[in-house]
Amino acid sequence: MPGEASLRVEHELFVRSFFTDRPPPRLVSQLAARMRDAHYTRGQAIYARGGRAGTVYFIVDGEVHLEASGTDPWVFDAGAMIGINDAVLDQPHARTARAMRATHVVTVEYEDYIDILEDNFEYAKGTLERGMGRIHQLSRELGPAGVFSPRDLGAPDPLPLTPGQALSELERILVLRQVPALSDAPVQPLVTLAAGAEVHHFAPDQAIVAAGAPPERVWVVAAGRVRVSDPSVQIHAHFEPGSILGAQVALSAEPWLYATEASTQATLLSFSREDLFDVMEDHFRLGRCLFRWMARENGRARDALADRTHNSSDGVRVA
Amino acid sequence: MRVFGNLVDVRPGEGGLVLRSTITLFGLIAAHTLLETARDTLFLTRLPPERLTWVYAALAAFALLMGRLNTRFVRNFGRRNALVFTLFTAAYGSVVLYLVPQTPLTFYALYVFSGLLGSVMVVQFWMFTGRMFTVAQSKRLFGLVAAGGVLGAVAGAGAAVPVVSRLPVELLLLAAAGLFLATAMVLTTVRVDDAGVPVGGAGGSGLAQGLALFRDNPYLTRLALLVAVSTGAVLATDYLFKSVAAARLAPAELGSFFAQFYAGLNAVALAVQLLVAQALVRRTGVIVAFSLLPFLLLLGTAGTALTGGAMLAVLATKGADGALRHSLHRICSELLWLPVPDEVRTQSKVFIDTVVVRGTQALTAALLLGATTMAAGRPGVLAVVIAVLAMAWLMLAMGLRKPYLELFRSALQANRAIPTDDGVRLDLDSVEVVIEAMSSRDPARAIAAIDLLVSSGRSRLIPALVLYHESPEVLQKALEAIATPERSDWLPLAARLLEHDEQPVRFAALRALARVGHRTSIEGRLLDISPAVRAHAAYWLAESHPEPPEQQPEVQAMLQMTGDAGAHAQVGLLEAIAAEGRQRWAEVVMQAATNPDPRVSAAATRAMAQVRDERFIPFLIGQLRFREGRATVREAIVQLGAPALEALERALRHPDTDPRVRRHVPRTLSRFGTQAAADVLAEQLAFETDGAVRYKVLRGLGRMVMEHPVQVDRAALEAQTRLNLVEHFRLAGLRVALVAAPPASAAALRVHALLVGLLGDKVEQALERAFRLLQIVHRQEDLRLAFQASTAQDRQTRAQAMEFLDALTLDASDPALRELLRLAVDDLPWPDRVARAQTWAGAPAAGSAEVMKALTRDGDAAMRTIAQHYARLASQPTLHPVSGEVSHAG
Repeated sequence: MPGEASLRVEHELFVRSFFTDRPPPRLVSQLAARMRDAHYTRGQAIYARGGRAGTVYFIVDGEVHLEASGTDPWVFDAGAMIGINDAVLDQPHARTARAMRATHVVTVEYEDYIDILEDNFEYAKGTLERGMGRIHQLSRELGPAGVFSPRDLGAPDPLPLTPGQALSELERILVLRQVPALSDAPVQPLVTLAAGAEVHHFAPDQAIVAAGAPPERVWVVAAGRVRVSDPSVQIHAHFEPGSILGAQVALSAEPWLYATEASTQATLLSFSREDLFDVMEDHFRLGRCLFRWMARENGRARDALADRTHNSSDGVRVA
Repeated sequence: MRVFGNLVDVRPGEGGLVLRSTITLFGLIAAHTLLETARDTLFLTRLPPERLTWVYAALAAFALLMGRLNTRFVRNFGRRNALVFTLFTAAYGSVVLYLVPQTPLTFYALYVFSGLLGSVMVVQFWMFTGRMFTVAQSKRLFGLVAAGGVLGAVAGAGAAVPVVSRLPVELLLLAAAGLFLATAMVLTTVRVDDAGVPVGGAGGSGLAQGLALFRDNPYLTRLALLVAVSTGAVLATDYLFKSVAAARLAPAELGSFFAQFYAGLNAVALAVQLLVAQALVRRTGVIVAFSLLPFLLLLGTAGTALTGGAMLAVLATKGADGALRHSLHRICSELLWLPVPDEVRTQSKVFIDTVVVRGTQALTAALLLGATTMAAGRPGVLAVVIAVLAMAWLMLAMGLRKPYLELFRSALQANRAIPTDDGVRLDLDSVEVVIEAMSSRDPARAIAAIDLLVSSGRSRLIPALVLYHESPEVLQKALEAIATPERSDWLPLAARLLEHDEQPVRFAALRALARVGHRTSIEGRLLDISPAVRAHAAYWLAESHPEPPEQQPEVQAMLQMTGDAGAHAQVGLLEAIAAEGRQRWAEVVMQAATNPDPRVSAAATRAMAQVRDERFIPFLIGQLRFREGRATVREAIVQLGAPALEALERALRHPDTDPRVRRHVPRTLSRFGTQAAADVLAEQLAFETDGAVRYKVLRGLGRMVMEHPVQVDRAALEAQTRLNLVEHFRLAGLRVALVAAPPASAAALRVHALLVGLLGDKVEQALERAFRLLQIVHRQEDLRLAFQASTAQDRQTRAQAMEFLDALTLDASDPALRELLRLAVDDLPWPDRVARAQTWAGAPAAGSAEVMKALTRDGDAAMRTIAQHYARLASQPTLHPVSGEVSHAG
C-alpha cells in the first residue's frame, strides 16, 4: 500500500503528464492536493445516469463506457476526463459510466477544479482555447450539416436592427446579450466588452475574415447575414444576428479556418480576444458561461457522432 | 416580521416552533422553581444548612450515573421523546414525594430529585432546541426562548409566595407535578424527525471516551475547565447565600423569604433577558457578554469579604448569579457550544454537564463540608474562595475568543473539505516512484518526473543517463536540469547531443556546454544549419572578447538579418543572453527589441528580465498591454527595482496612460512586494475613479498582502469596506424596486431585464469587494471560503459563515461595519434586508420614479445610458402607469 507521500507524488506526476500543456507548478500542486484515488472492477458503475454530477474523473488506467439506452456508448481510455460535462452544466449525469475492465481513476470535485482554474487564469484561458478547438474539430467530423449547432447560428428572437445603422451603446450590449452562448453570462462583463467593441458594416460578398488569418478578434453578427465556408470539406453555413461568427472557432487558438463574407448587407460587432480575456479574468462568471457553452457543444457533437456510427458493440471512441 | 420591535426578531416560519419551545421552557422552569422553593424551604426549616454539603455530594454521584443513562436514553428515544418522558417522571416523582411521610430522608430525596431533574431536563431541552435551530437562528431566538424560562421562574416563584404564606409548603409539589404534566403535553405537539439521528457515541459519556474527546478537542477542554470553575463558584455562592439566610432569619421566615427573593430575582432575570441580553450579545459578542457574570461575582464577593459577610453583599452576590445565570449567561453558554459539531457536542455536553459538573459539585461539597467542620466556613472566608474562582472563570472566558473563532474557521473549511496542502514530501518510496517515472517512454511522464525533482530541489537525483532518452523534449528538459558546473557526469552525454537531429536539442546541449566553458563545442556550432544555434555560438564567442557585444561583427550580422531566418537568429541570441543575464548585452537587447516580429519582442522581454537596465522600463511598461508574455514582462519590470516602481506609479496616476496598459499596472505593482508598492496601491484604492482599475488595485493589494509582510492602514480599509457594503445595499434597494415594477412592452422588458441583471451584478460585486477588503485586513483568515459559505444554499453553512464573520469583526474600528456585514449575509428576503440597512445606506428608493431618477444619475456611465433608454421606452402610453411620472420628471 503506497504511503501518503508516494500517493501525492503519483498525483503530481499524473497532473503534470495528463495536462500536456505544461500547467504552472501552482496549479499542479493545488490539483494534486485535492485528488483522490478510486478503483473499479469490470462492470462496476462509476456513476449512474440521473445521479448528481459534481465530481471530475481522470482515467489513469482502464476503459470506461458512458452508456445511455438507445445510443452507442462513448468509450474513454486512459488519459481522458469524464463527468466534467455534466458538472459544468450543473445537470444530473446524462449517461452511466461503467468500467469495462479494472479501472483506476483519480477524482477532484468540480467546484475545486473550477476554483483552481480561476486562480490560474492563464491556464484557464488555455484550457478554454484548446477545448473549443477540439470540439470544433470534433464537430467537423459530423459533416457540413452538423459542424455548427443550430443554436449557434443565430438568436431565436433577435433585435430588429437594420444593417448599416449605427449602434448605440445599449444596442451593442443587447446584441451581445442576445447571443445564446452568452445569454446566461452576467451583464457587467458584456457592458465592458460592448464599450470597447467596434462596429463594422459590410456590403454583400465583402470579405470579413480570410481563411488562415490569426485569431485576433471575435465577431458577433448584429444585423444581416454572414456566410462561412470551407470548400475543401463542403462546409457552408450562414450566421444570423445574435451569433458569434465561427462559433467555437472564434475562441480557439487556431488560425481562422473559414472564408468569411457577408451574404447580405451586414453589421457586425468585433472586440479583441485580449479584451475578452481581460474582462473574463475580472469576471470569471463569464468564463464559466463559456465553459458551459463548450460543454453543451461537446455533448451535442458526441451525441450526434454516437447516433451516426450505428456500431453498438464498439461505441464511439473518444480521443 | 419583527415581534416586540427591536427586542426579538422572529421570521416567517419560525413562530410556531419558537412559541412551543418557549412555552415548554416556561412550564419546565416554572414547575422546577416551585419544586426548588418547596425543597429549599422544607430542607432548611428541618435540617441544618451544613447538611447541604451532603446533598451536593449525593447529587454529584447520582448525576454521574444519570449522565450515562441519559445519553443512552436520548439516543434510543430521540431528543423530544426523552424530554417528554422526563417531564412525566418529574410529575410522578413530585406526587410521590408529596404523599410519602415528611422525614429527613424525604428531604434529602427531594433535594437530590429536584437537583437531578434540573440538570437532566434543562440539558435535554437545550439539546432538543439546539437541533431545531441554526447558529444564526439561535443567536436571534434563544433570547426569546430563554425569556420563556425566566418568565417561568418568575411565575413559579411568584405563585409560590401566596402558597407559602397561606398554605402548606408541600402543596407546591403538587402544583409542580401538574405543571410538568401540562408541559409534557405541549411538547408532544412539536413535530421533529429525530429518528436515526446519532446522539452521542457508542461509548456514551464514559470517562475514558470523554477524556479522549477532550484530548482531541482543545476547545472542549477549555469549556470543561470553564464549567468546572463556574460550577464551583456558583455552588459555593449558593451555599454562602443559604447559610447566611439560615443564620440571620428565623425558620418560620425562611419560606416566604426564599419565595419573595426568588420572585424578585427572577423578575430581574426576565428584564435582563428581554431588554439586555440580546442587545449585549450582539453589541459585545458572545465572549464579553459571557464574562459579565464572573465579573459581577468577583465584585460581590469582594464586597462580602471586605464587610465580613454583610447580608446586603451576600444578597447582591447571589442576586448577580440569579439574575444572569439563567438569562444572559445561559444564552452565552449555549452559543459557545454551537460551533462544536453536532455529534461531538452531544457526547461532550453530556459528559461535561454530568461528570464535570457533578464531579466539581462533589469536590466543592467535600471542601465546604471540610470547611464547616473545621469552622472555616465563615462568610468572609467563603467569599474569598468564591472571588478566586470568579477570577479564574473570568480569565478562562476571555481566553475563549481565538479558539471560538478557530472552530468556525474549521467548520467552514470542513464544508469544502479543503485538504491541508503540505506540498510534496520525497521519502524513499516516493523517490522510487519518481525515478521510475523518468524512465517512462511517455515523454510527458518523464518530464513531469524531472520537473518534480527540480521543484523539490532534488535535481541531483536525476541520473545523467536520462540524456539517452529518445524524446527531444525530455532531453531538453534534462539538460536544463542537470547541466550545472557542480556535476560532470552529463558532459560526455551532452557533447554527443550536439549532433542530434533536432535543433532545440542541439541548442540546449550547446548552451549547457558553453556555460561550463567548452570552447570546442562552441566553435563547432558556428556552422550549424540552424540560425538559432549559430546565434548561440556567436554569443559565446562574443563573450570571450572584451569589446562591447553590439560592436562585434558576428552580433551585428545577427541583428541585421531579416525575415524568418533573422527572427530565428535574434531569438537564439536573445535566449542565450537571457540564460546568462550579463549586463554588457543591454544595448543588444534594446536593438533587438525594435524588431516588430512578436517572436523577437517576446524573446527580448525574456532577456530584459535577466539583463537589468533602466532603459528597458518604457518598453516593458508598454508591453503590459499584451497578454502573451505579460508574466515575463512583469518579472522583468520588478527586477528593475525602484526606478521601475516610480515609472509604474506615474503610469497609474497619469490620465493619459493608454487604458490597455494602465489596467495592468496594479497587478504589476503588486509583484514588487514592497511597502512602497503597497502604499501606492492603498492610496490609489481611495482615489481611483475607473471601476475596473480600482478592482485590479484591490486584487493587486490583496495578493501582495497575502504574499509579503507589508503593512496596511486597517481603519482606512474598514472604511472602504463599509462604503462597499453601503453601496451593496443601495444597489440592492434599487434592484428590489425595479423588479417589483416590470414594464408591459416587450421592448422595455428586454431593457428592464438588462438593467435588473446589471444591478444584480453590481450588488454582488460590491459585496465581493467588501470581502476582498476584509481579507486584506484579516490576512490570516480565508475570507474567500467565508464569502462562498455566506452565499451557499445550505442554511447551516451560511449560519456558520455569519457567526464567523461576526466574531471576526468584533473589534472593527467601525461598529456599523459589523451590522452591515451581518445583514449582508443574512438569509432574510431582500426587501427586509434593504429595509434594515437603511440606517446606514439611506432609505431605499420608493416607487419607479425615484428608482429611475437614481439610476439615470448613477456614477456608472453604462448604467446611466441603459436607465435613460429604459425611461424613454417605459414612458410609452401602453406601458405601466407609473412611467408617466418618469417622463414628467425626466
